[in-house]
Amino acid sequence: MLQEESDLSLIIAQIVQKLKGSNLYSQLERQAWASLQRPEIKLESLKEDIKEFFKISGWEKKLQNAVYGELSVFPLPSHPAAPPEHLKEPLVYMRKAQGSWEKRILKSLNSMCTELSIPLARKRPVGEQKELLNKWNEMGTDEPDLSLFRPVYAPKDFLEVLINLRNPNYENGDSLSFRTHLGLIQIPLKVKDIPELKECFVELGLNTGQLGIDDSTQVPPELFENEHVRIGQKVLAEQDSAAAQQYIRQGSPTALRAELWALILNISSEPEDVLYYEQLKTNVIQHDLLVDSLIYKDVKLTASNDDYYFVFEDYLYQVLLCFSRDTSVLSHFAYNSASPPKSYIRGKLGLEEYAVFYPPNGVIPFHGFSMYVAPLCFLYHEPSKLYQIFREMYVRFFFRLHSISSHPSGIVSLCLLFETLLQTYLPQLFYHLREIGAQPLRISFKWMVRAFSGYLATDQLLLLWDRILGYNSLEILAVLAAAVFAFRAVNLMEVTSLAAAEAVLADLSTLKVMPLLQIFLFATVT
Amino acid sequence: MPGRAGGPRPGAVVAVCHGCWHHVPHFGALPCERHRSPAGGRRADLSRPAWRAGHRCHLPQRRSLREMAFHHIGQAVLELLTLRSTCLSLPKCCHLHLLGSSNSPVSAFQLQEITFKNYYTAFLSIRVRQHTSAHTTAKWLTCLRDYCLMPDPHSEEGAQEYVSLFKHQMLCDMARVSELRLILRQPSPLWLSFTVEELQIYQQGPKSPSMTFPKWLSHPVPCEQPALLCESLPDPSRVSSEVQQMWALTEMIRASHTSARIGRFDVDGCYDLNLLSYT
Repeated sequence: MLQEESDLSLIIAQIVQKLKGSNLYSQLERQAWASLQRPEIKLESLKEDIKEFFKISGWEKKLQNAVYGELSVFPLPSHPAAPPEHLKEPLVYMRKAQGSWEKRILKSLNSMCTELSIPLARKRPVGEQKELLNKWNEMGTDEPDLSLFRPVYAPKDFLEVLINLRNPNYENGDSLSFRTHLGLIQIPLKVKDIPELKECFVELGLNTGQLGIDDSTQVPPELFENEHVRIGQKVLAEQDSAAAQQYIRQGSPTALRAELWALILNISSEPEDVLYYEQLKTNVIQHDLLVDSLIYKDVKLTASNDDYYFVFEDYLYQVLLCFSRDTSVLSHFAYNSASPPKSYIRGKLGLEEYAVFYPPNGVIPFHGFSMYVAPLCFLYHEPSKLYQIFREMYVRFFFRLHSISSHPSGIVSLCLLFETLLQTYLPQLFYHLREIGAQPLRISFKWMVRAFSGYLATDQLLLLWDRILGYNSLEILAVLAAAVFAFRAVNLMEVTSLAAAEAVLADLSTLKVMPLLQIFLFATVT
Repeated sequence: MPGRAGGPRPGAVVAVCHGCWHHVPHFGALPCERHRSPAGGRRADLSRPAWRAGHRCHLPQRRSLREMAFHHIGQAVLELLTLRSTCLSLPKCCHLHLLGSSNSPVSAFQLQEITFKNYYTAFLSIRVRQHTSAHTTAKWLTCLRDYCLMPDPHSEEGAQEYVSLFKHQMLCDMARVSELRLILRQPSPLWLSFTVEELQIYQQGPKSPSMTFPKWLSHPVPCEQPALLCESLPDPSRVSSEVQQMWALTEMIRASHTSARIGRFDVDGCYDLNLLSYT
């Protein structure tokens, strides 16, 4: 009891500390000052009156949303004796594995610098700055020679690292025993089983209406869709992000999605946010980074080749280049097991006051990184808003898909969840694929790392991401990956090689996400 | 007796934990309560003659002492004995025994909090012996029974978490504790070893990090004013009160420190970098 109380006060203190630095805090203060002029504010009951005023004027709701946002992003304060790295990742061997993985990335970046003899970062000459400024809105037309650049790593490389992850305190005998995991991931993390998943994703059940199922053309809209849209408008009018999160678990109507997501992520496009984006743009124009070339290369390799997304090429550059300059992203490393790479200003090696993070946001893009942004381009057309939404999605969800951690939404847990689900519910299929050397994870890993972006049709992908936002968890990705295997099980049982299995699962763009999830979770008899 | 019953070689000391035989080569008995007579499986009482003679033992290296810091137990020298099971196939248990060494007995203390970092221990029990009047042997009391540290012993959850246990969670009164014994259990055969690390025991509430400053700052004593000081020196009591005010101001500023960031990444306008640093 005492423990819980002190925990609660710790959480409150942490949130207050966070919010004090925010724009909202100064706005609230200004409003409170202004409210003193009002006749209904009495000196003797000042505190209560101002609270009442905040409630009526809607500021309380904004504060509520901000607190709710903080709660869903930041982990609960850990034990006071725990060091900060414990908050990043509680398991020591995972931290070490992440550390050595980062070192590999650094080495590969450094060797790219030396091979091509280009610096990591340099100031652009004035002429170049002007040129870039002029073509800011059509950066895609530029065709720089990027043949020498290669992505720092691809999901495949990352999978190899995860496969080799071991707990030094774990009894892995050489011989096959009941302890051996039959899948590729050998870490005994706790993952949910189907009953737990059913409980967790209860709103996806057969008795609940779902966008993505109950809005198909055969179903008359009076049954579910009309009512659902009406509720959605009500939620938006209320501006309550918790309600929006609950609502979106049943899917978001296309027309309301952009606003609902912004409400859940607590993004409001204030003038100062636009200003902040402009500031980042200036930074892009002033400094030339090696990472820019990696971003160019990645967009050219992925989004520009995609039938759905190639039109957004320019948007992608604008968002991703600004993202790499955004130092506010650094704060997410407090709860991310990864750490930002460090460098020193030229000629000042080893001097701590000249130590900087590289890139400024600390995130090194990899092959497929731009696919996290691409689907959002369908929802937001204002670059500054698009940028904010992406940044918030990244610091809430996407970073977990490429850092080694034991978090339930982390990629290791997702892989294990996928393998466990498949083993439990389709043991024959799992065994067959394993025997022919086509471990299922080798096929599904790339889907999960990209959160299915670029694999599903866009409308289906957005329905899936609705649920990610609604449940504040990435576990649905692993469930969907397993559901896809279940759906194609008959064909997969006939293949005899990894290549053939990959061919069976090459095209997911015709799949309907929600029925697959629902059948796998709630209608599979086991 | 310990050398018998088929298993370990004669002369080796054997500890029995939860029905399984553990061969613990380096353990000598500061008689461990969990030792049981092999025939009956009954717990051997500490005072029984069979256990009194000849089984004093010490850990060959003070490994565990190095790892674990004991704080706030005054002058007491704590000795720690670890009984680590090496048997891996059956449910495992091990003890950490904290007590005063023979030449400087721990003065009995009131236990407030125990903090440690778990390392793959699934359940924890704590037993204490309280200091009573001389000549009577105090009894061991269980003050915490099978406290769950890992909700699922087969998976990583909670395996390396920091844990605090407070006085009010204990089953018995924690005043006048003279000896303490932690009984760790791990039923899962998956883990090679388990223990608790960074063990800290607090007598009173955990010390708040309030800073201490010299007494003269908070309580300027006017009578100590030396009469012989020359006139140009300012009045010390006034100075100290001013310093106090300044200190209060800086504290206020520090307390109202916000987490707002300035979005600059360059140092003095320069962000020219060549290579990444590995450290």
